[in-house]
Amino acid sequence: MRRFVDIAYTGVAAVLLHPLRSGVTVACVVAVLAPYLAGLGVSKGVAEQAAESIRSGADMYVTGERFGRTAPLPLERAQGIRALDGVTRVVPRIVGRLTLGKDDEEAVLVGISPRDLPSGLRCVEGTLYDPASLNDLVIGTELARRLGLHVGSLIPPFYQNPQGERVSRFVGVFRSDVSLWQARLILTSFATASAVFAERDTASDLLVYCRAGYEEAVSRSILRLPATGGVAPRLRVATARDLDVLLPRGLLHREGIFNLHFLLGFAVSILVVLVTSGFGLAERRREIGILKATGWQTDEVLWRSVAESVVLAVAAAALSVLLAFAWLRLFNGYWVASLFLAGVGTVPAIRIPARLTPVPALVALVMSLAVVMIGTLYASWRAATVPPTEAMR
Amino acid sequence: MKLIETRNVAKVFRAGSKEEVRALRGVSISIPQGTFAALTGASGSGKTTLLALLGALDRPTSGQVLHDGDDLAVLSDFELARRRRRIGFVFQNFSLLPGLEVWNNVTYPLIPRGIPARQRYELAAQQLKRLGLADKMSKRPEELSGGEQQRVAIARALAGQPQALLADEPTSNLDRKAAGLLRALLAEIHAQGTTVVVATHDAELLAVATTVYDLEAGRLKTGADACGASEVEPPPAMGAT
Repeated sequence: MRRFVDIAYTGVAAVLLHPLRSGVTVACVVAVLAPYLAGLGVSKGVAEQAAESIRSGADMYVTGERFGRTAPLPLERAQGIRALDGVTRVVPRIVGRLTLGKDDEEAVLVGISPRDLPSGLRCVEGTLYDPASLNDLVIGTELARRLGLHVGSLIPPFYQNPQGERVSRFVGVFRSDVSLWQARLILTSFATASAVFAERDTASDLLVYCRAGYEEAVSRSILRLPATGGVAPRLRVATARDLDVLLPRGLLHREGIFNLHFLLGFAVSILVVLVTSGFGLAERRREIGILKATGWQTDEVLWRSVAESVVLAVAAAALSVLLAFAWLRLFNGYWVASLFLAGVGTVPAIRIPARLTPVPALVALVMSLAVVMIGTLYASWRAATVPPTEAMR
Repeated sequence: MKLIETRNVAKVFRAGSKEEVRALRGVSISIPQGTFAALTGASGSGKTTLLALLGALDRPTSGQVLHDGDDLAVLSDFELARRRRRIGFVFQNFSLLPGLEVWNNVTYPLIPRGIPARQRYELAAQQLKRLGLADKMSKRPEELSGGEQQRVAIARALAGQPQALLADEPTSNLDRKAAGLLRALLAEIHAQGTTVVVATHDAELLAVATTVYDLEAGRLKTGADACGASEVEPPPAMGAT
C-alpha cells in the first residue's frame, strides 16, 4: 500500500516538476470545459426562471387565432369565459412590441390592471401607475438606464394613432433584474396600452384563473365556446401545464445544439491534448525510459501517470468551474448567453439568470479525467512498453 | 559463477530498412561474479549496445543474454524489470531527472521497492556521503558539474545495492582529475565485491579492469580467449583512492 502511495506521490510531484507541460494540458481542458459549464449554467438559470414564471402566472392563457396566426381577442369573449364553471378570474391583457429612443431600443409594453401584476413586483423608485390615468408608464431599471429615463421623465410621442400623439410620463421604476422576462418590460394600464396600439375593446390575451382541478374542463369548455360576431377569431388555449412542457423543450433544443457543439469541442480537445502530450512527449519518454532502466515496472509507471492525470484533471475541472462562475457572475454570461436567449447580444444588457449545479460540475470532472487520461496515459503506455534504451533515445 | 553471459548475441537496428545497422554480430562473453570487466573498442564498435543488453535495457535481435543462467528473452516484462533492480546502470549522459533534488534522484529507483521514505533518504545520504556529495543533496542536477552528476548517477546505481554496476563511458565527460577519482571509486566498488562492467576506451580505466573484451565492428577481436576475453593483471594501485 505504501508503495502505491509513494508512487502516486511521484506522479503528483511530476505536475510541478513539468510546469509547462502541466499548464498546457490544464489550459486545453479549461478552454473546452469553462464555456460548456457557463452555457449549462445559463440554460439551467433560464429554465428555472421560466418554470417560476409559469408557476406564478395564470392557469391558462387564451389568445385569438385567425388564419392560423395569433389575433387580438374582443373583450366580450372574456364575459363568456367568466361564466364557465370553475373559472375564478379572467384578466384581459395587452402585450405588444415597440421601439423607443434614438437607438430604437426594443421593449415590450404590457397593458394590465396594476392589481393583476405579479405580487413580487415592486417599484424601487416612484409608484405603480394609476389604473384610471392615461399615459402613465412604469419601466424596468435596465431599460430606464439604457434610455436615460427616470421618474417624472416625459417621453415624446412614440406612437401615433387616430387620437393623435400623446406625451407619456414615467411614474415608477421597477427592478428588472428579478426576472429575465421583465428585463424589457414597460407596464401601463390596459386603457393606455389600448390607445398606444390603437386596438379598442380588444386584448392580446386573456389570463384565466381556475379552481384547482378544473383546468382541463375549463380548457375544453373554452374551445367549445360559440363565436360572437361574424369575424370573431377562434380561441386558442395554452394551459400552464402546456407551457411547463413547451418552454423547457425549447430550452432543451438549444441545450441539445449546445451539447452537440460541445461534443465536437470535446473530440477536438482530446486531439489537442494528444498533441500537447506530443509537446512534452520527448521529455516524458526519456523520463519513463530512465524509470524503466532503474527497475520501475510498466504498471508502476502507468500508476504514476494516473496520479499525475488525476491531479491535472481535478485542477482543470476546478478551474473550469471557477472560471464559469466568474464568467456568469462577473461577466454576466458574455457571449454564451446569446446562444440560449434570443435577442440577447454578445454583451447582455440584462442580468442573465444562471445557476451552476453540482451535476454539470461532476460531468466536467469526468470529462476532464477522460481527456487528460487519454492524452497522458496513451503516451506513457507507449513509452513504458518499449525497451528503456529506445524510450531514452 | 556466471552472473551475466551472452551467447552469440546479435543486434540489428532498423532491421530490413536501407539504414539497417548491425551493431553486434554474434558476441559471446561471460562475466563471472566479482569481475571488473571492460568493453573496449573504437566508436561504433558496439560497446554501448552490448552494455545495454547486459543491463537488460534492450533485447537482442538474435542470440541469448543470460542473467544467473536465465535467458532474458523468455522473461516477462515484469520479470525483466525485477532483473534490472539487481543491476545499477550509469549512463554516459548520466540520465538524471532534471528538476529533482540530488537525493530524490538517488532514491527514485527505490520507490517501487516499498522502502519507507526515511530509509530511502538515509540510503541516499549514505551513498552521497560516500561519493563526497553530502553537501549537494538538495541541489538539482543542472546545478552540478559533470563530475558531480556522474557521481550522483553512480550513487543512484548503487543505492539499490546491486549485484553489478554497469557504466557506459564513465570517464569520457570528466576532466583528468575527476576521471582519476572515478577510476579509483570504481576500483573501490569492485574491491567491495560488486561486479563492475564498463564500456570505455580510457586506457587507464582498462588498466584497472581484470577482464577486457575488445570489440571491433560488432565482433570480438580475435586473439581473445574462448569467451573473447583478455585476462589482464590487476594493477597494483587497484582499490586505492
